[in-house]
Amino acid sequence: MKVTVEWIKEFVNTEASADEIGDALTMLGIELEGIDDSPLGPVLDFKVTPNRGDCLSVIGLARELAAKNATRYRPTELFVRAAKGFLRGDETQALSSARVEIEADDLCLRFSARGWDGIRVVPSSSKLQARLSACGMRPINVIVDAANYVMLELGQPLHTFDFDLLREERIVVRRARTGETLTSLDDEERDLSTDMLMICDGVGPVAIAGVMGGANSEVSEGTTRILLESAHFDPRSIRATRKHLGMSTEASYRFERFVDPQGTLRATNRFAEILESESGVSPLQGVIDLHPRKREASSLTVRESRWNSLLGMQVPRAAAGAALVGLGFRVEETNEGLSAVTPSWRSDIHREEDLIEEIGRVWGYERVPEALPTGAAMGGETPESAFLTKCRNAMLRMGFTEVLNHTLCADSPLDIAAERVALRHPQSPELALLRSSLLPGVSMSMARNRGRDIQIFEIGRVFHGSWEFAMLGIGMSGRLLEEDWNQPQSPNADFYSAKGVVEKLMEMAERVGEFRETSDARFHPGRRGALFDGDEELAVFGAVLPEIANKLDLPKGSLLAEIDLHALFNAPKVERIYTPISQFPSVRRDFSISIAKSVSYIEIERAIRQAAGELADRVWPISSYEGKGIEPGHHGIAVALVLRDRERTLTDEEANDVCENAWKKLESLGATRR
Amino acid sequence: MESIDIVEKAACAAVASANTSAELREIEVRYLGRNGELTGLLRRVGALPNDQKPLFGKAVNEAKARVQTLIDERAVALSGAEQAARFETEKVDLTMPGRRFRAGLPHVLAQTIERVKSVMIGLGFQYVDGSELESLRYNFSALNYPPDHPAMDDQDTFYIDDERLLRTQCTAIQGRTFESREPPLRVFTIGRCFRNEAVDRTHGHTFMQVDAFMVDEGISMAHLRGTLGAFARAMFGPEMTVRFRPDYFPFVEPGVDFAITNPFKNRGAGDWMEIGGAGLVHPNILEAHGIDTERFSGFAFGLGIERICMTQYGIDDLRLFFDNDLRFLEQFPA
Repeated sequence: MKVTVEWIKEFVNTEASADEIGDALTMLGIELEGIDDSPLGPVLDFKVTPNRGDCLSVIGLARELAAKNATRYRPTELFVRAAKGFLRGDETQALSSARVEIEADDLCLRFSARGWDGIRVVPSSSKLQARLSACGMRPINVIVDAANYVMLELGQPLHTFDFDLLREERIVVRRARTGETLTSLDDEERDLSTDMLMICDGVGPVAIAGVMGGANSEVSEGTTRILLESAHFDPRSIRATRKHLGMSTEASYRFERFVDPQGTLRATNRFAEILESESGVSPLQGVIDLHPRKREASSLTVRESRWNSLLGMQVPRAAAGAALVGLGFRVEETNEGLSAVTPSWRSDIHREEDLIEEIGRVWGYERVPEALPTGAAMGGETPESAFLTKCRNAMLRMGFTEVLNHTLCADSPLDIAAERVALRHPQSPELALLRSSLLPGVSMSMARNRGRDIQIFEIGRVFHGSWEFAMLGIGMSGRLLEEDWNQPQSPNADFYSAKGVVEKLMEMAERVGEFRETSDARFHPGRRGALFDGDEELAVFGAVLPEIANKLDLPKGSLLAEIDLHALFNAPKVERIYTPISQFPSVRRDFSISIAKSVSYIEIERAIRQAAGELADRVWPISSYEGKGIEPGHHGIAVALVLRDRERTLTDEEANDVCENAWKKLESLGATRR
Repeated sequence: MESIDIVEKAACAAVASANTSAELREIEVRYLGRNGELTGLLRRVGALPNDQKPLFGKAVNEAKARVQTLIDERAVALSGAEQAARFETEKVDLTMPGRRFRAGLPHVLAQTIERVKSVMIGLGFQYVDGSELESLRYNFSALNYPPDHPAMDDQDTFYIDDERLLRTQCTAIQGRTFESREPPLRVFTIGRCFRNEAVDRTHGHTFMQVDAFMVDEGISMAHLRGTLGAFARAMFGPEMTVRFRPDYFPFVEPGVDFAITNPFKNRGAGDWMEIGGAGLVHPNILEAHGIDTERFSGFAFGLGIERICMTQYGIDDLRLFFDNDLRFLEQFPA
């Protein structure tokens, strides 16, 4: 809401500067967003919270200032006249020339109107135009400008009809009927729905209540008779209508935020004053003022002990009372504190705590002291969230860099969940879906850093239907170690690097699982694997399918892994128990064999372990080789075995016996010595 | 006897003139070795008269010992010098860069999150995880938003359908917590929130929020201010203070927004860093969960992670956080 300082000063006498006024209102909860210049001096731009429709007006802002400090901000004569309703003396007389009926009295609580004859639709005075322009409204003609002026000053939106265009010279306030349409002032033909409140004449709609007038009753150059509408409409109804129509106006903005039902007549009086001073034309005698449903003024009590205890500071009863009186409450003292009748322009006061807030903000929150809550309290986190932290630390310890990608994403060939969650009204295809996998994001981060050696991870939520859970996504490409001077080139990450990361993570997460084949189509069919706990897939990993890698512009040889951290959390936990360290030396034997590739490594390891029995300390592959000197379909593989006894030093003979036994078993697998 | 003297003198001269450990070792062999010149003199003992034999033998052994001492002394001197010379040739260039160890790099926003988390746990709050995909109920209705209220316009929402949305505020954990736990409570969460906003340097559709609340007997605005003060001081140092300004959020009454002394004033920001909204938990919410508001009251606050992180490091574009350019992330090695 933009308002000139000079306008505020018409309502409160003050020496305060624009900055000071801005600060004072900011500290009352009406935040100053900026100060602009205008021919009329500084213009303050305030952000008014949606509970304070009454502050979308000059008088509302002035009232706040005076409530805060009536010595510094002294209400003027104009303020007092406004508070008394700008009475003209003819309010008890009926305006005879028009008839108004309210059919939808659930949506229109009050309808006031005045009429004019013999007006001339000319531009408004330069003073009026300057104020409206400074406050961000475009001057149009004296009628529209006067209505806007009153709206800015008092917060009551007004609408003027060309009375000669109102058929049957009457107004009916009712819901739209099926099939009705109306061309609004912006020349759009609007389809109306039957829950929308309309202002109609004797035949059909002439305005969308509280939102925008209709072109069919618009005040134009030739207009001589006007009818001024000043009403209170139900905030929710106005909001629903303007949302349905996809529009928002200054009027609807205010009606949505509650307009004072007791201020309708006052606004017509002020409009009459403005028009008199602008063009010398006075209104017809009498008013229309229908008030089918009256809002009860609520009276609340507020206890002194309660405000002191909730605010955490002592506010004297007299000061609390003065604050409420300044804000327009009718206040009486009670045994325990105060009772207060809420002013008609406030819709946000429902209970004791609401009054306490009023007392607190006027007295000033800067006076609230600091105190720490007493009593012991145990901080901590849930076991599952601690587990996520553990997995994150595991990835950091392995040297991976953490990335964060968006939850909202476009579709991706890496996102293959059956049940995707989509936004109802997406901004763009890039932000249409909720991710069901972290791999699209991780691969985007890889493409983003092409040309670098990449080892990255992300931990975040994914969405499968109504199921939301945490995943860990991992991406690797390029060298495992950075290039360095005088060092041999580091090897590139390969499939076994991806598997190694998963293995290490399992170790650090203290969980067990079983590696098995997978048919996950996102990966190279020959270079992929999965980790299972029973039937539950804990992880998939491997080299990205070349077509997908190309499409996503991934670096050459990109590897991805994805771990379901919720499933991993629930997977069997490793019990760590200390194993005594053997004091006796070990014996190592290497087996270099040539064997059909159809025999998997684990069969070879198992054969060697069986031969060694309890003496087997470690078995691992040293190298694997294909090519020259190896039969097609075979590969050369070397496996190391370390033997150790916990109780004694092994003899050569014992080691040789094991070897002989192992060779027999290897040969029975089809291995030949190399 | 004379011959002993001559050989010893020659040996001493040789030792004195030895310039390297290798030369010295040769001299040692030449004079003191099994066939050395001094050792060789002992072979003459047989040819001597019996009364002279012990004397001669003793004299040779004494001469050998003296020479050995000289050699040992010389050896120490020479090896010291030689080691010094070798060290000199082995000298590194301290200005060459060290080997690159790969250390895991936490995301800069996650670093702020971790700090906030540990401070909050230190203040006795329990961390819980909320859902990013929330129901309309927990995101709005359970937080005292009247149906279809303009307050919702402040938070343009990504809806999935009529019932589900992406949470616009982590405060959504409140309702769930009240349903499963009884006061006294100190609970917080940190996570992503979403608002349907156009993206630019300072606006994003996704942001990270901390949301905390506590309910106990006699909780007041002073406890809120004290807790926020303790939080700010743990995060940024002992001189931090908290400023309240009235504000409106449907789930608190009274409601404030809060700023803390800007710890990074030298980075061109103002005196105050406005980081969040707070207030006393709205009694409607407590009552909706059967909590006696005459006995219990509570405070709640929420604050943005990005704001803290951006102010701290002088980052001027929110979009960098989700861009994942390693050249950006590497600037914050923790």
